[in-house]
Amino acid sequence: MRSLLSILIWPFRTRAQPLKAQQPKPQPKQFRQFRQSLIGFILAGCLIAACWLSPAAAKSSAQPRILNAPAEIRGVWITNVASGILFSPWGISRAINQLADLQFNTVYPVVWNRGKAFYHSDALEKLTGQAIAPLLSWMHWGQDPLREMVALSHQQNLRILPWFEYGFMVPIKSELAQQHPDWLTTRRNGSRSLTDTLIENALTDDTFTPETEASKGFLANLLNSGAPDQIAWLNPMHPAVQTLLLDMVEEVVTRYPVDGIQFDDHFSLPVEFGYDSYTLSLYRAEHLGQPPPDNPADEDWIRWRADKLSRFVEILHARVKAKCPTCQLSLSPNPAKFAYRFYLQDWRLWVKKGWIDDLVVQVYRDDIAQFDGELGKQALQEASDRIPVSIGILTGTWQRPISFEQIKQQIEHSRDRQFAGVSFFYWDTLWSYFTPESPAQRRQNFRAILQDTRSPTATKTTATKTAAAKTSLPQQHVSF
Amino acid sequence: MSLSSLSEPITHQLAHRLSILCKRWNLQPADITAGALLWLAWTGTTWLAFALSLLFVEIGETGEVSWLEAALGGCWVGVSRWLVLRPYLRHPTRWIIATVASWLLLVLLHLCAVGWVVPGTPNLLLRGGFGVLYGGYVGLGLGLGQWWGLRSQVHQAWRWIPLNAGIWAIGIALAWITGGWLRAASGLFLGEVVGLLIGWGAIAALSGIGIVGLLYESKGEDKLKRYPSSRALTAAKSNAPGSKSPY
Repeated sequence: MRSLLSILIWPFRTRAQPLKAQQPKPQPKQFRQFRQSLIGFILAGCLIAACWLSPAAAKSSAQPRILNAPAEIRGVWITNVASGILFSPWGISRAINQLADLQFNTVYPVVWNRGKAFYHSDALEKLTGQAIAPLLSWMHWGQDPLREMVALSHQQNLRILPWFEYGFMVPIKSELAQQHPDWLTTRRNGSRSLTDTLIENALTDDTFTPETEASKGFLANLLNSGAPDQIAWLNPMHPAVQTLLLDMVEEVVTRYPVDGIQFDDHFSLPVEFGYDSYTLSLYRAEHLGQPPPDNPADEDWIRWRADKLSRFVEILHARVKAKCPTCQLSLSPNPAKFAYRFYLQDWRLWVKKGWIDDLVVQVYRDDIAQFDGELGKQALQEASDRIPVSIGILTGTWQRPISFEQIKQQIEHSRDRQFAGVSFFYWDTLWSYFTPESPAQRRQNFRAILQDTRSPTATKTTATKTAAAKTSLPQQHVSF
Repeated sequence: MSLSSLSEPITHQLAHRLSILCKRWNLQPADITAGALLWLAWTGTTWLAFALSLLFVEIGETGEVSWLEAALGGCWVGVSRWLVLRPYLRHPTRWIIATVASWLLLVLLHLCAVGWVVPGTPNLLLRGGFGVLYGGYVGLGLGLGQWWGLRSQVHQAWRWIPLNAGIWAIGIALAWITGGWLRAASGLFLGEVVGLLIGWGAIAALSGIGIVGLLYESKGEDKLKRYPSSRALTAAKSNAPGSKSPY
């Protein structure tokens, strides 16, 4: 306490000066004294801010436990892109405490992005020499931010499912891609880059991913946290790639008392890829030496690659359950048809086979009619008969601010359709300066809608739900 | 015709006019340097202190910023300015007491958050009007307190009161108009934050000119004199020959 006090009063102390300091002419020493005082003052301010914002609670460690499935899933993705939460000293505690205060119950913090881990990964260290993203490590004084986030989340009764955001995607200039070019898959023309592909054109028409919004320029680059120019894809069929991903998943579910893990639409193979030498030889071995079709959108060729990916999902699910029986394997894909045609993710099959425990479908649409259209699709209804299905809602990006009115409407429509809940992409656009409304106004709005307990989803989230219940729409809103 | 041949007569004229002004106001080159340095330190510190205050004060619309946060922010900026002025003030303690007391008075009047809030209306004309009104109130409150800290040192120190009120009125109006325009253009609340950063920049720069001007007209022979602190004087005396002080 005394040392803290001495730090706080240090800027206001005046050091003894010799008599000649009384001369009116400005002295360099006095300037130094002022400069030191100013630096001290700034440091003291930062210290006050840190004490003000970070709870002592963050220091205690959490015990492994099983959290009950919430009545309504209210999740949030926490990423490192265009976000300062992971990089400011009090960012994590502030975010988790605010989320808990506003009745959220699930967080998906990023642990794998741009070829870097956001926890201490031995598997990645062996390959790249970096166990954790350097800036993150530096900002947390070498401590493990995921451990802090897990402890804080459980303390606040939030479920935490670390999110392998990049899946099989890596920047072409990343250490991993540079060291193991043979792990990357290629397009028909031999290119390893996803840039300027059919996929991106299709994406802008059919769905939205924040990566497609990345624009050029210094400010854009700063706000996108240095988004990579060129993206490559690790080959999901390559044994070494599979081993890396399995090892990383195992590290997360065994070293941290998490409630599960999550992959998203990047846990896939874009339809244009699959012409690398490893995949070609595998295909030839299974097709009497015949090469795959030149058309990447060929139905059989898509089916063959999708089945290979599905086989890996089965292995992944088995590994997760073997290492952590209570952990959920969550998936956040695009709507089914799009996910299969363009990303070869046959998630309807994965759900049917029981390899996925929790589904959060990204329905990032501005037009409410389109949004409703997606919610009404057969695949979603089928999946929600088996596992909890929640709706991923976009709360905005810095280039595409979204008003709370739209968010509210989408939450209400999702609730009306009796889904298991809603998850929001992403933390920084829930309430911050990157929203159309003031942060306090957004918090107040979220508080109001999340306390509006109209969700009868608890009965819906079990796989035993009968078809009769499904056809009983519209159901009565239940108050808890 | 080259650019230098065009600019030379202009710069000559400007330098000539400035030298006439310096003679009229009895300004020496040393005074100008000292004044410029003080202005730079005051302006930079004020703006930086506001920017750093955003670490613990979240900008919001009227009524969304708590009085405690605003009071902390105000005192934070006040103390940082005091650090700059301290060597130039005859009674630095008076200044800081007056500043803190003024902020507390503004807390009681529910005006302390003006530098950290923005109006709810998108109408730029209304924003400008509110900015002049509320900025003027804050400037008046602060000016009243700080006048007490300056009056024993500065001739006609009362001038600081209307000057400060005017500066705050201009700064806050500028902040709210710019912020409103940027918010409408970008669709992001961030525009308001940028607006306040610009407004605080104006307040810092203009009040810097004001305070340097007033201190230049200090009573007595010394202009922009740096005063040793009381502890420095004590230490100096204790080092004098014959002193029995153990230090």
